[in-house]
Amino acid sequence: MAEAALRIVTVSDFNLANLNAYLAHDEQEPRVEAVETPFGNVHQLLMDPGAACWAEPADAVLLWTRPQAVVPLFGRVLDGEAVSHDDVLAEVASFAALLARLGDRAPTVLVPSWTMPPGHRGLGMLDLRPGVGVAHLLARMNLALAEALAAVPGFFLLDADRWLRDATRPYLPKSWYMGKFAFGNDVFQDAVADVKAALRGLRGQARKLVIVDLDETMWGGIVGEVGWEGLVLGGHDPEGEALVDFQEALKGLTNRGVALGIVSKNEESVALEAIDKHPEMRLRRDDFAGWRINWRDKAANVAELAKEVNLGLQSVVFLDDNPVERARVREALPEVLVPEWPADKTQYRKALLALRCFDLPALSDEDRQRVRMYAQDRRRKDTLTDMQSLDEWLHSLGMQITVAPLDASNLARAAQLLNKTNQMNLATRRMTEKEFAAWAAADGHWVWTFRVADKFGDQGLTGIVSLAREDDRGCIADFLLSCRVMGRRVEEAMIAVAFDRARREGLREVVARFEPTAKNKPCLRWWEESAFAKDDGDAHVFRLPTETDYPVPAHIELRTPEHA
Amino acid sequence: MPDNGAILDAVFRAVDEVNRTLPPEKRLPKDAQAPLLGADGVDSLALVNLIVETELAVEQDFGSAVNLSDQTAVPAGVVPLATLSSLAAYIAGLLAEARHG
Repeated sequence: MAEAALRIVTVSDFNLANLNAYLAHDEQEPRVEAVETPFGNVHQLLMDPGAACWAEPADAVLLWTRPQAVVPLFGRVLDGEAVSHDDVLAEVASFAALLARLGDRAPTVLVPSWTMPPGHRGLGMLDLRPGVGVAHLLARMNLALAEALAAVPGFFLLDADRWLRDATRPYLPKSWYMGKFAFGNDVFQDAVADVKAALRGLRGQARKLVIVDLDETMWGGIVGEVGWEGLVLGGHDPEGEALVDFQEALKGLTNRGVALGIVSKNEESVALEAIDKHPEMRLRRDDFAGWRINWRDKAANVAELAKEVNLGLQSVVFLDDNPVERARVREALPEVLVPEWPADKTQYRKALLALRCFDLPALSDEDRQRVRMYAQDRRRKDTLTDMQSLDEWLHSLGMQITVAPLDASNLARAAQLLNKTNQMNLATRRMTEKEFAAWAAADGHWVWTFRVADKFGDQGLTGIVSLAREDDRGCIADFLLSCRVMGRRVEEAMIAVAFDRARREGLREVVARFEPTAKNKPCLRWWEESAFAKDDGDAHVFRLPTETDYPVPAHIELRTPEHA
Repeated sequence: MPDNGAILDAVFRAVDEVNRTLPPEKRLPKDAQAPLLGADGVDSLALVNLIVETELAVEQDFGSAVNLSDQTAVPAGVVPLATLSSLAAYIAGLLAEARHG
């Protein structure tokens, strides 16, 4: 069944009808119902929570203004009046405070940054001079707005200047004078694409794995024919330089938490030799979460590689210079994003950077370190094959789990995990940071986060358990764990923490209610095999009296704030 | 001198752009005789978009800027925005005028 369209209220001092139309008709996920408000009523709509547009709950608000329309002193600066820039910034602070009121009306508020009025040259050579220039002042206004909104959960300032820079027709005077459209339609289309990317990121739908072909994609030439020494890569060659830039852009993605993989029709040893030895390679083996280099069907290889790194196909992007291979993967694996790819190698970097599928609402250390963790995981699995038994292997890992209650320091990462974890997830509750923090703060609610580390490295914050007191029972509201650490009995340690709390609170039993989704069968299997007993009347409810012994597994050292 | 068919092609391209802002049931047919005004026509915002997009398409195709919102330039008895066909004919007249100074 198709998901309901997101309800987005758009507010502006100019006509957003075209943007609303693009939002409503855009075929990219998620679907959106744009709720149009009369333009020119920004302050009224911000101040009046009883206005008609707020009558039904909104999933997001898009508030796009021209600076001179909402910061009147800036309008006077544009007219050439001598106005104190500090006074202008004070007006910005007031407007930001007014904007923050939207936090009570929608979990997400998207605010395009302010841009210079079209064609305005300001003061020419003085325009970026502090205290004098209009462009300098506008940059400070945007920074002040960004800093004020960064403190409000759910608020995001979008870079509208980029939309104008990339537009063929950023502004059409006739559109303004006839229809009060402040920007050209290509600006609105670009804005819609970024809004959709932001909404996907907020819903945990950002892509997390880019799988790349090798010959003619990562490098120029066929390595099996010319050998690694004959590849076009770097050097004094336009295509070679462009391919190095493309590899650097891919490497940049890994710093945003996007993993890389290789699927290539080649002899593995030959291709890996090129990766290891070519002096101009920017990507080496440790930059890749995994690879399938063989002569098999690429679609099968893509599916296998995604499974190996515990990611669903909806998390995968596949890049290949060959249109036949692209068509094959697209047809066999419709969830995989397979962008059209330029024939001209000098366009590769641009094509990669143009993809709007990696946007995240927060960037944590775990995101930045994810690729390193994949490499650790590969080595970890290698040791498993050397061990005689699972227990022996688990004891060899030297696992440490650090427990911490949900707080400001881990909220962003915890909310990210809450919203993207699918497989080991009891209830699959999706909440914004603000909603999650509010839930945790309620009386009789507890939320714990779990960081997992072992001798191979720190896996970061990978688990969450929350408990709610209901009469004399403790109900597990959330139980979720990243796929990266599933199967190492971290699950038991997590439940043991909640179980211990329930016992200390004098609760009689701990209850977990499994909410089935298309993806969380692994979680059901875990509960069915756990020490909890299945409820007589409901196969998705599991119970365990708190008088039962429920220890942390012996191979895990549990560190809590009290005992650390 | 561009023929009416070429001008109509530019107008149809503008229609494609305008239709991207309209729900399916309100989209303009690429039919030269489709009415633009009145009860069976398009709403005022779509008309604004059509004027802007047509001006851009004409300038792109024929290298001449035309002003479709200048009511003073419209000859008596002519309704340029009656249909796509009348719009194309009006543009042909403006282009001819521009050519002959």
